[in-house]
Amino acid sequence: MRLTTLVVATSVTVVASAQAQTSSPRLNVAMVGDWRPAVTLGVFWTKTLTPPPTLPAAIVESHWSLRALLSAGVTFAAPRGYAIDMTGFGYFGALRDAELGPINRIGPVVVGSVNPNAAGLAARVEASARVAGLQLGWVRVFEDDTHRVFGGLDVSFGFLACDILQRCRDGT
Amino acid sequence: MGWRGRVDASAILTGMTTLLIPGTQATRLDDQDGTVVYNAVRVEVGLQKNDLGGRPISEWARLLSMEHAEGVLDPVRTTLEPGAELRPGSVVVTPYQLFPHAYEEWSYDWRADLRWNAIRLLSELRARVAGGEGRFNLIGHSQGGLLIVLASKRANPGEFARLVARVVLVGAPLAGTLRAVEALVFGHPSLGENQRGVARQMARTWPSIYQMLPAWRCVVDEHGTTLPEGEQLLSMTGWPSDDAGGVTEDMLSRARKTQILLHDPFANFGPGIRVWTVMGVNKDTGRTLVKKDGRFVSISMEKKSGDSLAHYAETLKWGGESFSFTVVPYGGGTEAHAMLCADETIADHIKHFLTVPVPEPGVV
Repeated sequence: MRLTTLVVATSVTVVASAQAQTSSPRLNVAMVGDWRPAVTLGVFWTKTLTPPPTLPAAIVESHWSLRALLSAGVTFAAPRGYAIDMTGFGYFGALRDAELGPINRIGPVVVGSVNPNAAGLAARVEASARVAGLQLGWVRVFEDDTHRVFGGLDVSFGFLACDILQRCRDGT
Repeated sequence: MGWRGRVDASAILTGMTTLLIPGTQATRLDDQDGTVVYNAVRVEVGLQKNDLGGRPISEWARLLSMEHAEGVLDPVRTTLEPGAELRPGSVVVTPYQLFPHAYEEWSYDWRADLRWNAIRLLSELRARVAGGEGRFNLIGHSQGGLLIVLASKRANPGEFARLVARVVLVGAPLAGTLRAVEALVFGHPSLGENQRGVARQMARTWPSIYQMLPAWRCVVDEHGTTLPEGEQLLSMTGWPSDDAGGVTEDMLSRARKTQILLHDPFANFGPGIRVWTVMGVNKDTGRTLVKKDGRFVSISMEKKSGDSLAHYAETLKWGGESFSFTVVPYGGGTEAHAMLCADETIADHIKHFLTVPVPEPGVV
C-alpha cells in the first residue's frame, strides 16, 4: 500500500515536471501531525494569475499567483510503529504579493499527506525569488481521527544544491 | 541533469532556440583548473567571503582584477594572479530557475568590455544560423540585454533580423545605473562591509562597470543641483584627484562610446523582430550621487522609481520613443532587479511572449 502510494506520487511528480512550464525541483521538510519529519523531493509549480499585457502597456500590478508542490520521500515516524517509511506530500494554494522584509508572497494553502494520511490548511510565506517557503497550519490525521499541528519548510533544490553547495555537474 | 522545468513549448512549435543572456555576476568565474573562484549567490549569502577560490583576502583584488590595453576590447589578462586565467563558468541557477530548461544559457565574463562580449554573441549567432539553425529568441537580463543591443549595432544592415526573431530585455540598464557608481566610487559591500576598498579596487579594472555608469548627469551638489559636465563621472576631471586611483581615461572613453551605442537601442534591429522590454517600477532606485566639498558622499534613492538598479524614467529617456513603446512596467510586489526573471508573473509573461507569431525577416 505504501509502495503504491510512493509509485503514484513519484509518477505524478514526473508527469507534472514534464508538463509544467514554470516548475522547479524542491526539497521539503514537513512535520505532519507530530515532530517527526518527513523529507521529500518534488516538483514546485507556480502560475501567475495576472494575464500577459499587450503593448503599449500600463503598469502591470501582479497580486495573486498559484502554488503547488507534489513530492515523495521518506518519513521518520517511529511513534506510528515504524522507524522510516515512504510518504507522499503536497500542497496547493494561492499567494498574494507582499512586501514584508524578506517575505514577498503570503497566502493560504491546502495541505495533503499520505503516510500519515492527513489533510488540512496552512498559511504559507515565501522569500524572494522563491528560494524558500515556510508554512504552518492544522491538519486532520485520518488514521487516529485527530487534529494536529502541521509545519513545513521547502527550499529550491537549484538554489541549495547548485548555487550554494555547487554540487551540480554542469551548474544547472 | 538540469534543475529547471523540462519543456519549452515555443521551441517545439517553432523550432527556434531561446538563448538566455544572463546579467552581471550571474555567470560563475572559474580559474584555469576549473575551480569556481566567484559565485555571486554564495557571495551574496555570505558563504564565499572566506573561500574565494581558496585564496586569502589579501589576494582577492589581484585574483579578480583584469588588465586591458588602451582602446583594445579584448582583455590582456583576465586576472592579475601570475600564471592564472579566469574563464566564464556556468550560469547560477537561482535567478533563472523558473525558466524552462530548454532555454539555453550563454555564459560570459561580465567584467569584460560589453562590446567584446557583444561581438562574441553576434559571432555565435552568425555561426549557428549559418550552420542551419533557425532564428533565435533572445532573453537578455540586465547586462545581458545590453549585449543584445550592442550585438545588433555591430551587425550588418538587415542582418540581425535574419539571426533573431524575438528579443526580451529584462531590466536592461540602457542609461546606466547608480549601482555601477556605488561599485566604482564606494566599493560594493557584497564581499563584506570592511572589504569595500578591495571590491572597489577590482571593479575599477572592469570595463563593463564603467560602461554602465549613468548616461545622465547624476552628480549633484548637497542641495541637489546638477553639476556641470566636467564634474560628472564620465570625465576624468569629475573624479577627486586623491580618490581616482585606478580610474583611467581609457575606461571612461569606453563608457562614453558604449553609451552612444545604447541610445536608440533598436535602430539596427531591422523589421521582423518582435521586442518586449520588462522593467520594474516598484523599488527604490538610485538617481543621483551627492558631491560635497569636492568629495562624493552618498547616493540618493528615489521611491519606487525603478527595479532597484535600473531607473525607469532615465532608461526610457535614453532609450527614446521606439524603445518606450516596447516597455512593460511592472509594479506591485514584483521582484527586485537581480531576481526579475525569478518572478512568476514575469517568467510566465516572457514565455507567453515567446509564442507570439513573428513575421519573416524584413517584414514589418
